[in-house]
Amino acid sequence: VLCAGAQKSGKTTFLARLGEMFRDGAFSHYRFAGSLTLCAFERVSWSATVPSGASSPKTVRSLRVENDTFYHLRIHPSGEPAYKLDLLISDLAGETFPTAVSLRQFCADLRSLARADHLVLFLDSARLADQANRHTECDNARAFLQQVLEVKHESRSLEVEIVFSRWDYIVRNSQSAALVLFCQATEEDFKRRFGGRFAALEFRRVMARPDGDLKPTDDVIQSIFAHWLETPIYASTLPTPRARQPARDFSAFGLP
Amino acid sequence: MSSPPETTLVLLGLKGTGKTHFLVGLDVVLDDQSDPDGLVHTGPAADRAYLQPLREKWLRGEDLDHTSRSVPPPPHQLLTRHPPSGTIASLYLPDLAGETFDANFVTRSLPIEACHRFQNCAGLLLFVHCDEAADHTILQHPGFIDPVSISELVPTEQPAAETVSKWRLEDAARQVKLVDLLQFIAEIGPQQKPLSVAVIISAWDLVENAPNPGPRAAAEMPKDPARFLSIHWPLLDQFLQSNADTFRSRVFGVSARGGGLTAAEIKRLVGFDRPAERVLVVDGPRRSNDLTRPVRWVLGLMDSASPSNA
Repeated sequence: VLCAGAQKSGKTTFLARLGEMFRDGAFSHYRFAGSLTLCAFERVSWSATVPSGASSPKTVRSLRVENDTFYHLRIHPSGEPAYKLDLLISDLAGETFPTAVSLRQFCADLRSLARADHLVLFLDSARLADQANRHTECDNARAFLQQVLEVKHESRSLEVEIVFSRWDYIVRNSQSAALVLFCQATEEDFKRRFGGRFAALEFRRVMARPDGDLKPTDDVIQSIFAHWLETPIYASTLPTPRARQPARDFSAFGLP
Repeated sequence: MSSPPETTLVLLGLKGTGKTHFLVGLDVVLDDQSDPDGLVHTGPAADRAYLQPLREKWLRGEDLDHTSRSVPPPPHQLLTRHPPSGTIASLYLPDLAGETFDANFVTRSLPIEACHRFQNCAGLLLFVHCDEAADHTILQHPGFIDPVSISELVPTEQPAAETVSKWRLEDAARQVKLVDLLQFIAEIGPQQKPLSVAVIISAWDLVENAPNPGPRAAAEMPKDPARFLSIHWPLLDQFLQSNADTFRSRVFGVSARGGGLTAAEIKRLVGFDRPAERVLVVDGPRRSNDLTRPVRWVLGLMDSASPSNA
């Protein structure tokens, strides 16, 4: 899974909330079976904990050097401990998102994108609620998806989830009804441009750590997580079976 | 007569989780076993230099000194017999300081002797304290908090400038450290597979005596140790249950000391005519003073009606 989006769009908070939900036992359909990156989950949650000394929950931002690194979770569906699944999640640093939008080669070099079965693209509701920034936010997301289409091998195997993150900024806004309509129009626009070009294009509204008296949308987060696990993984089929004893190393797949 | 082969059980737990109290309580119970199925001492080990002074303190109801990481305790044995089966075992339960395991987590390494111990041990006694939080409390935005209760608690002065500390490995939550240590052990490849892990929820008398006004409190503070672990240590509980091919686990509520440290509590504890009766072991619906019960379960010397949790 590759999570992408502009800086402060809530990618890392979303992943931190995933880790927190496993630690507090909030996941209802999946059980924790292990993780090679427990410390990474701890680190991203730290500034949202009481012992950190923070007065309100915060999230450390992901750094450029963390691109193409992964969070790991091993889980199994409740009641099926033998059916373990390993999930690798990469958090594209927001500071590199503008580069990804503008440079195709950058996207082509992203191993996490090349390998991804799922792309989660975060649209920051705080910026969507801002007249000055909302069109840029949408435009960058569209441009990024265009780049993905250009560089991703077999893009029709890629499941794309577009997350309206930090949804509390829409809910609490005095112009909430108008903003909801704008988001619906944005959805329609994305469907028109990209519908049928990926394996799926789904839209979610997420508050991972909302301000005010709103509660986190843990059920939506769980449904996104379930979607990653329950979607059959597309496996490329080789045109020719591999020859076990090829005449040359490079001719194992039928070349003379 | 040749001595039986030594069986090692590793006491695994972070600082202050009751490992030493368990070891000393076990030594006392082995001498005054009330359960006909329980383990008993066959005789004193040759070297009791470590256990005897601790036992005296335990009998006086005093608190036990914190185990030093810099000066590891000397080796000690418990020579035991299981009367129903006639099994004789020389148990070695190394009493390592909780900081040792913290250091293993922080340095992301295990000394070679620890690797060998985990590879060759018969099982683990994994300690968590019932009164310690498994995880850090997540901050809530001010909107979640009742403003009336805030105004009562917080002075109206200007708050000091916020200082958020940088995360260090030491800051990881307790259940994360324990799961990670178990992952280390799984990677080492213990000879016993699945490796038996008796999860000991220590100071269980606090749970027993906790008031439960209403069904919600009862749900949050269940008197069943396995249920308690699943609610309060979910990551650890799910990890153990999900990896039943590597770890076979069972949860016990244990009060090896039998009570608190106040003067009144100490007076109550020393008032027992049989000190072993201070001990409380809760295992599902069964309550007893038999502190050998978790050990017997690890060694496969328990009655067949006591399966693992997984």
